[in-house]
Amino acid sequence: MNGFLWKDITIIKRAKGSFVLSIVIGFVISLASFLNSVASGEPGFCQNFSNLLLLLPLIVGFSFSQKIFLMEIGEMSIESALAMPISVRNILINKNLLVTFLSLLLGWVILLISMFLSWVFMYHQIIIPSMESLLVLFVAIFFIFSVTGLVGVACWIIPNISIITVISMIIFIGSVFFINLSPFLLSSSSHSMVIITSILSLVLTAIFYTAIKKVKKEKVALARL
Amino acid sequence: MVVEIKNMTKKYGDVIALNDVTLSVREGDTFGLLGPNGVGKTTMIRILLNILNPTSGIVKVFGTDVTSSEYDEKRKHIGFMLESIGLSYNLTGYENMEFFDRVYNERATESERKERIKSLLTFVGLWEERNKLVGKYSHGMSRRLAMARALICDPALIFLDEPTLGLDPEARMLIRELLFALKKEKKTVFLTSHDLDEVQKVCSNIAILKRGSVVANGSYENLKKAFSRERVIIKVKKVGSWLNDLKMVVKNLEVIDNTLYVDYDGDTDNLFDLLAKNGARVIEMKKEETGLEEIYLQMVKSEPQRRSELIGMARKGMKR
Repeated sequence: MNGFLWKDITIIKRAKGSFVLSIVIGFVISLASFLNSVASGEPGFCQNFSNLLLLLPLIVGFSFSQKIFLMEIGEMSIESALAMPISVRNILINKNLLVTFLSLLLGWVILLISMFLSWVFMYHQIIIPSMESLLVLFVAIFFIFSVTGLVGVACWIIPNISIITVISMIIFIGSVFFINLSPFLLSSSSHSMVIITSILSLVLTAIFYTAIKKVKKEKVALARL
Repeated sequence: MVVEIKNMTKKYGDVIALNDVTLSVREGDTFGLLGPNGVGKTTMIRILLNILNPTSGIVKVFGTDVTSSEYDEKRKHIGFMLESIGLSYNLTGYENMEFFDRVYNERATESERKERIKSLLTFVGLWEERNKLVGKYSHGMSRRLAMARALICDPALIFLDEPTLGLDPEARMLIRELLFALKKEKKTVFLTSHDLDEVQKVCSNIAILKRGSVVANGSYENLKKAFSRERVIIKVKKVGSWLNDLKMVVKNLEVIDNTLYVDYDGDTDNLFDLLAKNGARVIEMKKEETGLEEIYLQMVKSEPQRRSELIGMARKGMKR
């Protein structure tokens, strides 16, 4: 296994705080959404379900991206990371892929458990996600990848930790607002959500790749050392 | 040559951090780079490790330009221990070693990995402490672990930036022993240090940096020949008018109480005769050996506040 990936996974195994926080927030949001959707009827539920497919991994991803991308900076081990025969681009992409994978996995696990709990404890309603929700499921991969990636790049190339925090929060809150508002801004349908999310993900991924293409060791060194 | 630097300059914006530096390190050499804080020693190591790029000039390691993509392959055989230790505090000593082993020896089997880590941790005396989080290590233990980490790729060349910085005498002695062991194994070592005694004892070649330029370079013996002053210390009962006669024959004369510090290349017997002839009552006379410390101080004295300048440079560079 790649050394950086191994290190990140080893650290994450110890990051119980990030796990617990993500799980608690995830459960609260998903159960609240289900209660709301069950009360408002079937179409509302489908919309909520699509939103949660994006929202839960985003919350988990944000929690982990802070941990994984800030790790080297916080520990002052970034100089040795830069001195190793591996490019900054590869390190950032590796970290981002890991964050994306973990976020989607844990986010959707929380969602499935929440669905099961709402089925058992509430109306015994059988939940059938719509086709649009399944599309959102795939779009979510690119969306989470682009959002967490941008947070990660900010962590590595911006010298001031307060500015990093502000930028990360703007990206995160902006994403949450987008997930909640985008379908209603157009036609209140999951279909439009898929289209808008795809376009936004493409734009953000393009920004992420352009940013990491321009990231040079010297730039990170001057920002961080 | 393992390291070749020709007319290398590094600028941060308009400020020159390293100026027209030329030096080389031969295979198997233990090379010491000396200089006051902020003079550019760490910048030089960062350039050699391709963390920073030189503004101009040629920098080659193992015959490969450090800015070229081919250098990545060569770097797999270069160990380093930098000023910031570069270890993860949330991992144990063993896990830190495993991380670096996975980066440098990707294809190693688990048993090879374990064996290598065990031998290195034993070498630096940390095998018993391997399961402790590095965040709980003392400064000396972290430095030793960083030294073990530097050796994980079985390096042909090792860069050590201030390896004994902030260590107590015992830990310093241990690092010095490790340096001697590396020397014995014919590893090429490029180290920067403030510990002049350490450099004098361990290094086969020394360069001194002043305001980003190399002002002295060579073996200790050669530096001594080139820069040393023959100094004679004379204790007299009382300083008298004969002092003026003495000034005529010596290069430099300093008087503190009844002790004279004299720069004199000739035979001390002649000096004694001269003093006796002029009525001076000499209590003690001895010739002082010039150490690296004196050569160093002679080279770098009147060094201005370079460190604050460099901090300013880095900030300017960042904004560009």
